[in-house]
Amino acid sequence: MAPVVRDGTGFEAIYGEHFAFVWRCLRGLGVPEAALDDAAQDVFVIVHRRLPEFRGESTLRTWLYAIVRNVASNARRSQRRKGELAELPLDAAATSGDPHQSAQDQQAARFVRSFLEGVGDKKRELFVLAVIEQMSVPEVAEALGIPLNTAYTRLRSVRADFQAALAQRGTP
Amino acid sequence: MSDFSRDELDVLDVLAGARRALEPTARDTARVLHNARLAIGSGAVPAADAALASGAGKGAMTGALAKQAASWLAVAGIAAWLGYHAGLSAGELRAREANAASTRAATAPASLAPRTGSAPNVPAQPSVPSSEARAPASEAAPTARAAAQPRRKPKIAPEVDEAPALAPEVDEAPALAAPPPAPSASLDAEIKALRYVERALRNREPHNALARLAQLDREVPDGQMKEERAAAQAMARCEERARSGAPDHAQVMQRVLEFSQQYPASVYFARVRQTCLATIDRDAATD
Repeated sequence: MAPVVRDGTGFEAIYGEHFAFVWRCLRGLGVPEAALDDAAQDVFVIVHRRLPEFRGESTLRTWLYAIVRNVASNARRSQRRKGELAELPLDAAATSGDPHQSAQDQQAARFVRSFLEGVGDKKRELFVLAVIEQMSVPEVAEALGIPLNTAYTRLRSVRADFQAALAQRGTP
Repeated sequence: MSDFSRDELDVLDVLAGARRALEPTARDTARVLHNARLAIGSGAVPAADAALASGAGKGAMTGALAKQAASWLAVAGIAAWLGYHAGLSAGELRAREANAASTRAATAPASLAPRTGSAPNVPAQPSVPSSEARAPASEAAPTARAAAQPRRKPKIAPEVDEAPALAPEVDEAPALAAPPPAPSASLDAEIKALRYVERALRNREPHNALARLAQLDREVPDGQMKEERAAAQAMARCEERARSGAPDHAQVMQRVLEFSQQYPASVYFARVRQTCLATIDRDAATD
């Protein structure tokens, strides 16, 4: 049986549509650069294996995120065992053809990374999904398996933390 | 006039920049797809998959259970073949096999990989953009990071094509015999050989496929892609039988049976079975 979801799209269509989401989430969740390829690969191998089990009870993104979350957790654990620092090396990522813009993006990314490293896993996940990925709060709550009210409360809190951190840093 | 305060604009600027910096490049996209396809073709099971069995799978079987189920279904398949030898017609057997295969496809990860677009006698998949189609775009836009940090080789070797291909297809003639390659080179040698074999199989040139496999056995006797070799050999032998006259149905079944016993959870099982059964179909059609 071919791995097909309800709308008739297959594995590679899902890959094409959601790879960037998976990649950003893995990075946002602190998977180190050295492990990023393997982690992304693992996510899609699991997607391929489990796609026929996807029943459409959740959105595809929340289903994907459950996989990303586990893979990221494994990758971070593995990296800790190796005793390597879990960096989020965005520095070399080419984000724009404009060097000035690119430098600004890297600066912003470094700031966000540093912020995420200090907020704890729960807020970190919420920030990645709701703020960076701009998923709806109900969707985020479902992806994280938390009550909607908790998601809203946590989001308000992490936004305030982010504003405070930004204010401390000064003008971006 | 913007509705955002200065602070809010700062936040938005920073987030937009961070989001851009988190984006994968086209090269990242193509590279990971390529590696994922290789891993899928090899039947790799990521460590994180086990942890997902009770979560993301939403009631799905665990990998271990699925493997167990695959094993039992393989046993059921063997029993079906025994039934064939006891006098069942090939048509009845095929119907039973199809039922067993669809059950297995619904339950076991082993049958997820056989994506059956271009293999002979295999129903087509919805067409999707391939990594090959995407790759040139990524090549056209190399990034500083990609240039500075050449990525690791894929964790797993075999390539997946439309059907679970044995190796990526390239234009390549059979290589001449060479001294045993170094371990790091042996995987490349296997992949190259299997590309050739894959193409030969698709062109229904079983002699060429078998000759190349024999050469590969001499060059890289202890390779990493034994499952791919066994699948290719089983298919090539079935085709060879069909080419050389009326296929011996029992022998065709024996090939499939041996392969299923050797690799009960192989992603190539469906393709081997269908390729071999197709030789019987063709024989029946010419009667």
